[in-house]
Amino acid sequence: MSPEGSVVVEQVWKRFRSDRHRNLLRDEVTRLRGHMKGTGQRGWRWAVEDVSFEVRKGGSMALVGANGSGKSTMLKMLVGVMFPTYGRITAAGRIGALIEVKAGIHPDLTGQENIYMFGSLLGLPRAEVRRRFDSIVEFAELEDAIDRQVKFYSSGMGMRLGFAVAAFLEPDVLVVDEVLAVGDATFQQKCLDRMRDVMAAGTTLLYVSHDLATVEAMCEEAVWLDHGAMRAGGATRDVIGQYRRFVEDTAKVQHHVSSDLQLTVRGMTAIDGGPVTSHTPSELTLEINSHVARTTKIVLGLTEGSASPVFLTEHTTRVDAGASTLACRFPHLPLAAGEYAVWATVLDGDGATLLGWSPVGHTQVAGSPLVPAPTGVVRLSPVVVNSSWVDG
Amino acid sequence: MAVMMSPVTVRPEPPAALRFHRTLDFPLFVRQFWRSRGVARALIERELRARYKQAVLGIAWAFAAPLGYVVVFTIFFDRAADIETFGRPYPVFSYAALIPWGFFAQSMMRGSSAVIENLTILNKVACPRETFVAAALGTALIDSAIAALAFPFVVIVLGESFYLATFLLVPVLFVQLAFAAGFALLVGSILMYVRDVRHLLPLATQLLMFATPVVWGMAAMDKNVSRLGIIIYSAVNPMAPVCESYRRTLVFGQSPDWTLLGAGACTSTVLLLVGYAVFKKLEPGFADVA
Repeated sequence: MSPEGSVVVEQVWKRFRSDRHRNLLRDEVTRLRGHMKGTGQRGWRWAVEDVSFEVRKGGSMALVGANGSGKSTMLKMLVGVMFPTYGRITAAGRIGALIEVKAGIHPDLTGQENIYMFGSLLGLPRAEVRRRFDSIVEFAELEDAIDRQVKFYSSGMGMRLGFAVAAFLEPDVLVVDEVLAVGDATFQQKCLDRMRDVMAAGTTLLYVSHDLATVEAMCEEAVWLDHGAMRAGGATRDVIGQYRRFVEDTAKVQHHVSSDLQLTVRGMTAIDGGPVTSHTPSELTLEINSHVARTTKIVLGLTEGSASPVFLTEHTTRVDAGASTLACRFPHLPLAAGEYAVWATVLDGDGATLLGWSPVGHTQVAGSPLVPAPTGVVRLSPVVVNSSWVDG
Repeated sequence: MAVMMSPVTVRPEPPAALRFHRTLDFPLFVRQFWRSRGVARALIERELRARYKQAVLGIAWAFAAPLGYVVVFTIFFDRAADIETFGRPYPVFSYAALIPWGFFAQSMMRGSSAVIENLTILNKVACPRETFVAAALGTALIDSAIAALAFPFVVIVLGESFYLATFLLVPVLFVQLAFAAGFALLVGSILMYVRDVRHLLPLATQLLMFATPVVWGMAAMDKNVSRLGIIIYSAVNPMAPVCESYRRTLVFGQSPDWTLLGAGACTSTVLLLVGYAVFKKLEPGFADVA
């Protein structure tokens, strides 16, 4: 018997109907008729294919991947709402799920009534809810609105109410699916803090989000799902790195099509000739290939693989027809060790786009590693800044 | 085990040994259901609160429906159809049968659609799905209990009397509950896959009411139908002996016809078991088609 709070997923497969099936009698009749003629085919689509992982008690695991990669299906199976087609899922202990927080909330009831209602839906005895009632209201920042009907709440208030109830559940396993997106920045941080407290108390966390920064902040381990299959699993930073590279490659395939102007990275070197390291002067060499001579404005940035850059730099220059090279120098490259993608866009003199924002190459940086962020703290960019401390 | 080196990645096959199958383990199901009783309670509370909060007349709505029926029935059936009431006033005669019928009609409508109505919760909260059906039946039970409160007033106003036989309704209540639950579970699970059938429910309720001794008394059958025929009828439609039992105890102070009720009880039990089995067998797929 595994300890309470541990989660074991073994060779899980899940399939869904993929034909246009509406669960209506008249559709069933049509299908049956087609079946007899031999034309009607029942299509199936695998939403999750052969996924296995394990989370120990008190551990934290993130599921990352593009839309439709099977993350939410996986979570639903973990919670016990859906059942796998093949495979086995063992989740010991009480599971608290935060999958779309507003689901259990009834608009005609007041906030107070909803707290009791939602609490019992999530499996919390009434007395427990009563004991935590004040903390819940305080956490949700609802104050007087607690006696108002929920239909008169703003969407943020409803979201906060839902999260507050679930956050005070204290389950053995907490499952969180992309619910922080609604709140403002302050509330998001509050939620992350609360999740960290819950984890410190020994709760296992399973987290799904497209916000890779919060994934890195919350989880030790991650699994990357792509079209239902497991592409990678392991330490969060490695998995996310691979996932980001994949996103970059996909973006490259999508962008590099028609353009009468090309921009490619020749390479990045330290000026003294060695490898590129944090804070050493380095130079990025680019080749620009234009059909005609024109004025161009290049905006270039280094990213962790996704489209959002760590920093941007721009340069306006006149290029001749054909290939020409240019270089961009960084006297102090403030990046931590790791792999980075170079993204760029090129505009003409009038500001019209010649080359859309797309990856044009990548580079490796050696040198200073990142200072690990405390759990629950979201680091926005992998930047290292030299600092010295003075004691006393 | 030999390892095949191939440049093409072979798509793995799902592990046949780990195919998910729902096994019908009733003791486990009952335990799980019992654990989720808090959810059922919350759902009932939510339903009642939301309903009576909005309505200005509040609880009065629960009285309004049966009283309205009684008035209409009295005006039309009593006068036009000349129903044999054995000397009792027609309003009392029909109200007694309307109490269980009102419950059944509501369970049929709400109970069968309980899972569909709660699709949003279904997808997020892990609890046995029959909890939703149980909550719907619970709501219907409370509603008809409120409606039954008006019965004594009708009795007093019309100068009729109360009978000790009323307590014999306890076993009748079980038959009534079992039949309603079995029906709601069976129809409810099928409705998930063929949803348009739901629109037939109001029609079915209407038709069933006339096939049940609600506006007419079962005694009327004695003249034309053999005893065996009546027993078969009671087995086919358990609501018939249930409604008639209410009438016999509340209006005439007699005990229920145990043979007919027994026939109805057999059908109800079978329906409940079959309904529960079908429901639990189909349950794992509910979230997929939600």
